[in-house]
Parts: sequence; C-alpha cells; structure tokens
Amino acid sequence: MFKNKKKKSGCSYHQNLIHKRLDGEITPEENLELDEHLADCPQCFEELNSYALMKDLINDIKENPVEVPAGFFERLAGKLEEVAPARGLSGILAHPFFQAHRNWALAATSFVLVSVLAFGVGTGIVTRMDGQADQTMGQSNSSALILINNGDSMVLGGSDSNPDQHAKAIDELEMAYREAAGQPGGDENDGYIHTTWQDEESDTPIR
Amino acid sequence: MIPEPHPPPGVSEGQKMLDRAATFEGDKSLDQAKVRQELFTDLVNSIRTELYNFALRLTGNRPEAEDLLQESYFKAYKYFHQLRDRGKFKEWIFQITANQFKNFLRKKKKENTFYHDDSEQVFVEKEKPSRNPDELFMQSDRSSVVQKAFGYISPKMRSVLVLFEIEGYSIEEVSETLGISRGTVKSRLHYARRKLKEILVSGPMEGKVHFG
Repeated sequence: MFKNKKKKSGCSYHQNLIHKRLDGEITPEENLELDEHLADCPQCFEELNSYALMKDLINDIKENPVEVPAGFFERLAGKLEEVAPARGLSGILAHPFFQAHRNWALAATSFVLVSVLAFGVGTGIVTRMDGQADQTMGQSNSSALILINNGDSMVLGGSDSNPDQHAKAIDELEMAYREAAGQPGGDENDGYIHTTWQDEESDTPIR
Repeated sequence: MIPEPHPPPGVSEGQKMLDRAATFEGDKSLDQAKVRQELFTDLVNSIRTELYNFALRLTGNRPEAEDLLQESYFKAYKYFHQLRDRGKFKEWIFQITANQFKNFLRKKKKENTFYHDDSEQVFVEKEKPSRNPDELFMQSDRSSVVQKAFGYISPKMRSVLVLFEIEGYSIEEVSETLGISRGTVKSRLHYARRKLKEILVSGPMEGKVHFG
C-alpha cells in the first residue's frame, strides 16, 4: 500500500524505470526522467548497460540454436498412427483456446449447467438425476444421467471423448431405460439407469 | 492442374507446402488421415529446430524438453484438424507447448520446496539448476554460457524470460500464454533479469563471459 508513495529520488525508483524501459512500457515522461538520472548516477548507468549486454547475450542464444538430436521427430512421427484425432466434447474441452482460458470457460460452463438444472427442477422438467465416476485399473469412466419426465434423457459425461462411444452409451441408456420401464413395478417416469463408457484419453499410448 | 515450372516470386516454401496440401485435402480419392498426418509432420519439420529449442529453453535441459515435446506433439496432432489457419501453425504449436509446460510446472511444484520472497511478492522456487547445467548444452561459444545460466533460474521465472526476451512475446501475450496476470509477468521478468545477471556476474557462471 506504500508502493505508490515511494519517493522519486533514490535509485530503486529509477531501477524500476530501467525495467519499465526494458519491458517497453515506459512513458515518454518517465524515459526523460530516467535519462536525466542516468547522467548523474554511474551506478544506474552501469545497471542499464549490464542489462543491455545481457540482452545481446540472450540474442546470441536465438542465433545459435541447439541441434535437434537425430531421429527425434522421426520417432514421434512413427507413433502418429496410434493417435486418433479428438472429436466431441473432449475436442472442445481440450482445444488450445479452451485450455488457455480454462478457468473462465469452466466457470461459464458451470454457471450454464447450474442455471439449466435449476430451471429444470423449478419447472418440474427434471425429476431425478444421478452421477457416478469410478477408476478401474487406470481407466477412467464417468457419466451422469438426468431423466426428464417425458421419458427423454440427457447425459452429462465428465470425461466423454469419442462421439461414437458417446452415441453408443446413449443408445445403451435408452435401451436399458425401456427395459427398466417395462419391468413389473417399474415406472417410466421414475428411477435412473447408469452406464459407463471408456475414456480414450487414458488409453492412448503415446510413448 | 499443370505444375508451374517456377513458383511466382514472393511465395514462401511454407506457403507452397500449404497450397499443395490444400489440393490433396480436397481429393476424396486419397486417404485423408494419411494426408493430414503427412501435412502435420511436414509442418513440424519446417520448424523443428525452433520448436526443439523453445522446449529446451523452457525446461532448461534435454530430457525434460523431450518429454515436453512428446506431450505437445501428440496433443497438437490430436487437435490438428481443428486448426483453421494452417499459416499460424508455429504460433499454435508453441502455444500448446507453453500450455503443456504449465502442466509440467504444476507437476514440478509438488516436488519442490517453496518459500515466500517478500521483495517479489510472488512465490518462487528455491534456485537450483534443473539438472547439471554443465551437461545440458554442448556449444562452446558465449551463448552456451547464457544457456547454462538459464538453467540456474527456476522454471517459473525462466519461462517468462524465454517468452519475452527470446521469443519476443509482449507482456500481454506472456500473461495469456502462461495464465498469469500482467503484474506477475512483470514481477517475474524483473526478478529473472536480476537473477540472470547475478548468476553471470557473481554466481556460478562468474567470469565465463565478459560483463560490463
């Protein structure tokens, strides 16, 4: 809280200006102020010079790249056939844009889901829901089924990935739902059926 | 289509590759999975040295750089079909590599001891080389000295320095890429510069380069 009250005299203030100049964020006024100080302060002048030299050294790194070990990328390319392109929900979730803004995207998604569920419960559209996740031998399986009182179902898959598997899981759910509804004592507007499908992510050998 | 004997002036090799790929991608008689795979490997090969060095600078040593590259390479291929502008392949795969590096830092965080540095107002890892920096780079010029010096800076600080000073990202771009605030970027950048200078002037790499 005292940061903004720092005196403008004193080298720490001007050293901050040196970093601002290096960051490319110095204002013209600050630039002038720094130049005036540098003319009178050999210590800060030397500091700036050493950073300028360091920048030159860093540029050397870029101009002298390290060689890629022979066959490195070829070995990776040889395993590409084992990698299936991502589709469906996992394709969206793992998209670089989503990953870069993951926290915001997750918050927005949660908000939308909670709003939809709250609306569904409030209006009586959603009558029952259940979720389950389990881990078996390193393979993750997860799903959540929401039954809607007209007999339709909505599946929320935590780690769903392959659209074909997803579609298959929904078919299984519907079939199981019909079977359950036909059983004695079964109520087509009551109960839930749970199924799982395998997450391809945990299964993809990449080494 | 009759191939042109000489490409029009100003058309880069990369653009020619993309144009050629576009014709193959439209050809239904070809195995499109194979076409996609070949285009991906061609694009990676066109930036292989830059990509390898980017990972090496982020991690500070070859074994971790190669692990990081392996993860980002397969991840990139998995989502390659979603990349609309193939001309931005380099930026795209660098972004994926930087994202994977964030995960790498999270894993590493669990292994490291942390302390609070009041002067920086950030949590920084205890300074120690990721591996033995002398074994990391086999170059003999002064750039190898700086490369080794980078190895003594913690990965969090180093990643900011690499993106800003070497890759030429803006403060804003570093902030977006690493998912940290602009203030944290600047704070880490200032700390990393001071640390690098200290390592070169009075630290483990003292006297290895003429300084000041």
